[in-house]
Amino acid sequence: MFFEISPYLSLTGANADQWLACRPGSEAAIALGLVRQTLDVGKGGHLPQALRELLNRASAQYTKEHLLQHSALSPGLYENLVGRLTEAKKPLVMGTGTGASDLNALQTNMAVNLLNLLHDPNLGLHDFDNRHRVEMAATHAGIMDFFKAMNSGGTDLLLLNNVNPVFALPQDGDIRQAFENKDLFVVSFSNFMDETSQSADLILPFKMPLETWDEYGGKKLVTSTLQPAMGRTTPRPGIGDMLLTVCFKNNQPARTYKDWLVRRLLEQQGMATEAEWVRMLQHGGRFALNTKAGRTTRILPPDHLSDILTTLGHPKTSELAFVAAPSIRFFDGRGGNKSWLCEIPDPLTMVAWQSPIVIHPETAKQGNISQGDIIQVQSESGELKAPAYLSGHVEQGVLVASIGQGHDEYGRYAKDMGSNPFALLSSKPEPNSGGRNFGADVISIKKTGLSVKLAHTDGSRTQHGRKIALSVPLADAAKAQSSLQQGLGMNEFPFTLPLSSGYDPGRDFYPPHDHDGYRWSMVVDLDRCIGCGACASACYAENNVGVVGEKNVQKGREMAWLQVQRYFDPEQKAKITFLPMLCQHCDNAPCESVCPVFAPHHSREGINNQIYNRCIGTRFCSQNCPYKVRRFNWFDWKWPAPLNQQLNPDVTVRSKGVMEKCSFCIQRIKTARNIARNEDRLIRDGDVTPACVQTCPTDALVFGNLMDKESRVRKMVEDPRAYQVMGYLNTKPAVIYLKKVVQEI
Amino acid sequence: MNQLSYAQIDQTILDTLHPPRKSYWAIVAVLFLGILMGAACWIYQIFMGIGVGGHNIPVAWGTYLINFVFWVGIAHSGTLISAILHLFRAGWRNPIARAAETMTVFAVCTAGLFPFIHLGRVWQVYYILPYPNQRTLWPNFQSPLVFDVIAISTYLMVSSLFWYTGMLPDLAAVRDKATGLRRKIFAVLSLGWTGSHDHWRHYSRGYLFFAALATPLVVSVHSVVSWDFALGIAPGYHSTIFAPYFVAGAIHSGLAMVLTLMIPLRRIFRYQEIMPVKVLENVAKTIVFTGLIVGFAYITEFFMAWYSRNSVEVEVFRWRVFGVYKPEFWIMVVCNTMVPLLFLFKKIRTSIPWLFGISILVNIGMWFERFVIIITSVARDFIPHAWGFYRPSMIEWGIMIGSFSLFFFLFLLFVKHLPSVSMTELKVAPGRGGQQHG
Repeated sequence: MFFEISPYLSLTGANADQWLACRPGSEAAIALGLVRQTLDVGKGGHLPQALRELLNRASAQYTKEHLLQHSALSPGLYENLVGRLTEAKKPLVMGTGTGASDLNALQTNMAVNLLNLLHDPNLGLHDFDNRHRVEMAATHAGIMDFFKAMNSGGTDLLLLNNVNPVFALPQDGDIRQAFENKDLFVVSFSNFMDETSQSADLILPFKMPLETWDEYGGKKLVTSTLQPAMGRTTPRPGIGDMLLTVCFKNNQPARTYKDWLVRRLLEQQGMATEAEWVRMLQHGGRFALNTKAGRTTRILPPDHLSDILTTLGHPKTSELAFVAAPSIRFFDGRGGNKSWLCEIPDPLTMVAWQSPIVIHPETAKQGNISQGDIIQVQSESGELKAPAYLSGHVEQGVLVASIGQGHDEYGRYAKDMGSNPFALLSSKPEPNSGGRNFGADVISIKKTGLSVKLAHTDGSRTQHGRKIALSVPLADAAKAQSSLQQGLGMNEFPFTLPLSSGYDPGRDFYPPHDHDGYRWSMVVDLDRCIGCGACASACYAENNVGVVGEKNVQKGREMAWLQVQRYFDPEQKAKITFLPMLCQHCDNAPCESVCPVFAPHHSREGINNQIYNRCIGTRFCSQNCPYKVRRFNWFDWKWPAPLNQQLNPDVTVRSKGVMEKCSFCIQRIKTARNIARNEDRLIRDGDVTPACVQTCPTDALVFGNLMDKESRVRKMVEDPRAYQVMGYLNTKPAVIYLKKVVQEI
Repeated sequence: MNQLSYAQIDQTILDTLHPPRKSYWAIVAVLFLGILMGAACWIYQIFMGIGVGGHNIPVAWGTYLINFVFWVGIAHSGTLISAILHLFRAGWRNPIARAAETMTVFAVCTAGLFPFIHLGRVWQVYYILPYPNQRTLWPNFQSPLVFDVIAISTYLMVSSLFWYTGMLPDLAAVRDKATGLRRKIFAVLSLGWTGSHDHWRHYSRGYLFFAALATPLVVSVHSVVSWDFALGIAPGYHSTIFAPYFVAGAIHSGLAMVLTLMIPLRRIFRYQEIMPVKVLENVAKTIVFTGLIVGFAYITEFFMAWYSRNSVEVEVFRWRVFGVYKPEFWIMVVCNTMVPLLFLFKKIRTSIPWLFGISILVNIGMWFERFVIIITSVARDFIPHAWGFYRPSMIEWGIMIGSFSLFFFLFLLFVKHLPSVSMTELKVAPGRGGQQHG
């Protein structure tokens, strides 16, 4: 059971069993309210007296009534949450993420950690040893002090690598001004002319990570190795080599960066010979992951922190609040010039290329704002113009825009695309934590009178009760499906595998296909799908899928072979189901029968092949595809240099006028077959991994041969959760979905 | 017309072939510019890609197929009038048969361009023909588009041969009155017609057989066109009523176009005596009948959607009435089924302005019928996430204007260069006591 409490629905919230909307800034009060409820049921006897007293004091005022009044939580859901939390055997409460530097964020996280301590004296779910590298980052206060010091003179050289402070720091922090200092010499190690490079005195392009030797440790106990995956394409040096040459005159610690790196790793990892280094390289790194629980550290918060806990800033008093949300696509903005990341829509708004301001319909109604109207939001620090996106998935009065777009420079895909919500944020660090405030009080929202067509890829936010993205309550998940499924209607139609067993002379006019040893198929477990869209981007990369740009997405011409569809439930606001939709490789494919020239063609192995050379572009196949997964080349799509280098040489680039669609990565099947043939055997289960399957972080997609009784897919289709999207059309899809399991709240 | 002598008939009709006024050539030139503009739009599309149109996924078919179905529909009435009414001995059709048939031939020609314009890779269009090749690749005879190729080409061939055969005695009549180069051209065109007894015998037999051959085509061609949709599985397409529904709709639109063309023709060429209002009135009565069939088909579609209890089907039909395309839907319903009912009043169906106005409205309504069927069905089909919206682009409008220009351009050339009313048939009209066909 997983609850999320936040002012707006994030992707995490979308994957929670229940999302609770709260007012921004009230999170700390809610955490303390939960502390109080936990103390009330008598937990926490193991804590030292002083700490218990502190908690009692801090949480005293957060009674249920007080909380409900100030946080806008739904009373029923709050009751439910408290009940589940106090009854849970091993609860884990996590603090806020990007908002960790929001108003009261320090208090929120302290309260959350103490809440965990109340429930579990050993903090068994915490690992204090294997910390993440991000924790080593400087605080916002530190960064702002640095620039302040730079502004006041005294610094004459600044080296910048992999950062873009001019874009990513609040604009009222005079960062740009710091760069204009005449005595300061700024060197930017960058391959892109981003905002910061633009103001640098010297720009040094260097090799990309895929061209270099390096190491990376995301966590303390993990060291990953990087090695060049491609040859040198330009004479750019590696950044390590550059520094070795420049920083040392005669006494270079190593001839090349690679030598230095190997030596350092050998020392660091206590490896005796280079052979061990090679082994490490072969494994991709060293993973000394310690899965044991970390030591419990019983620390009483220092006095000044106790004071903080008892003096919360009040939840926002102004009617309107703005939150700059982290984006799954652009990170801090450095993803903004990646064409795929711009083209693949945001998982929740389904808007590509643009960065709209998400606003509650009620709030919008007050300002007479409708979908797509460009609104101007004003805060103390600045103003932001962006189109409005109306959604019930934010708390009333809250405006949310995601970070990463709105660049003035940086490249053809980032420049002047979307808007930058940092404009509204203040550069002032939070006094207690030194963190950055990603929220702001909104002074006013104005309509500009302009409006724009949102480049959204969803035609409807709900599935209109159709058999598309299904879910099943946990209690029924293992139950066999009703044996009554024998009708011809949408919900009674039987499960028909794309094998000869799926054919019934009573329903089928044509005989089954004669498959040749293989019947490729995919199983999609909706319970595992988190909607991130990584599969879609993998597909773009693997299959040379064209990027069409904002204008064509607005016209409904995105080329994604695989799309993660997002469906809201009209009755339960917080219930969201993601459904990766790709060519279903139907056994009884409607596209195949209508093409006048046999361009869609059913292969001996069950794949619905699209023969690009044969296609004359009647588009009948797409009209007749009930899943609408076919994509037409409306134009010749462009890969301006050097993006042509990203094209996969194993896959054709399609020209204008032909239809295309998911091929189950047939080039990978062919490779697997060649290997199998050389070894005089059949393709084994697991030999073929399409790009989407390979990339899925949660293993939601499984690919294999349905005719192999031992294959993973064959075993998975026996799952009682298995169903086919719109199976009643008797298309006999080879993409089988497993229903999402939902918890009854 | 009974009062007219043979000489008067010849005189009235051959007079129309006198050298035209400047205003005629001005209109022809304007229409030619329209054709050039359409052609330029098409060439631009070939170089840039189909994306210059407004199509998308899910609505991958747009005005090109709307216009295709529209023009094929127009093409129907010509053969209906000249073949079926000929077999039924409906003598009132004689004054308009030639022009209606010509309309058919030109409308099929115009319609036949649209599948080419529609294609993503028109330069590979020959793949659709069953030509022998080393790879033994054949077209997919299961595909309704291959049916279309066969049906449309058959129809074009039969209707143009029928048209030409029927014109032979008249061409000879023109030849006999003409001099110089014109005489030579018509001598070739009339294939040595002398009016001998044998010629007349073969002619009347041949004409009858062609009429018998063309009659099933009237029904089959638009049935086949309807299968482009009915054999698909999209809600709003997949319906057994489509063949009769499309045939009735085609005749409905074709008859309306006959009125649209005949009324100006009658006035400009002073055909009032040859073509009495009675003829137009009969066309109008038929329009009432086809309009009722079309209206019945609309009601049946909605009834079936409701009766099926299939939520996908129900949603498509609900959305047609209440969704973003509701103006198009209501234009269709009002113009096709309600406006023609005005013809129930004798005053209206015998008034030339009313006849003309209503015929234009029916044409518009029938164009929107195809719009509603082709666009709204796939715009809101099975997967709600994929629902979309389509509007024709400027390029599509350009090509559409080009197609109308082409049709009227050809028709204008016809009326001044070939006899636009069949002299032969007028002379043998029932009650005249002349030679009967067959």
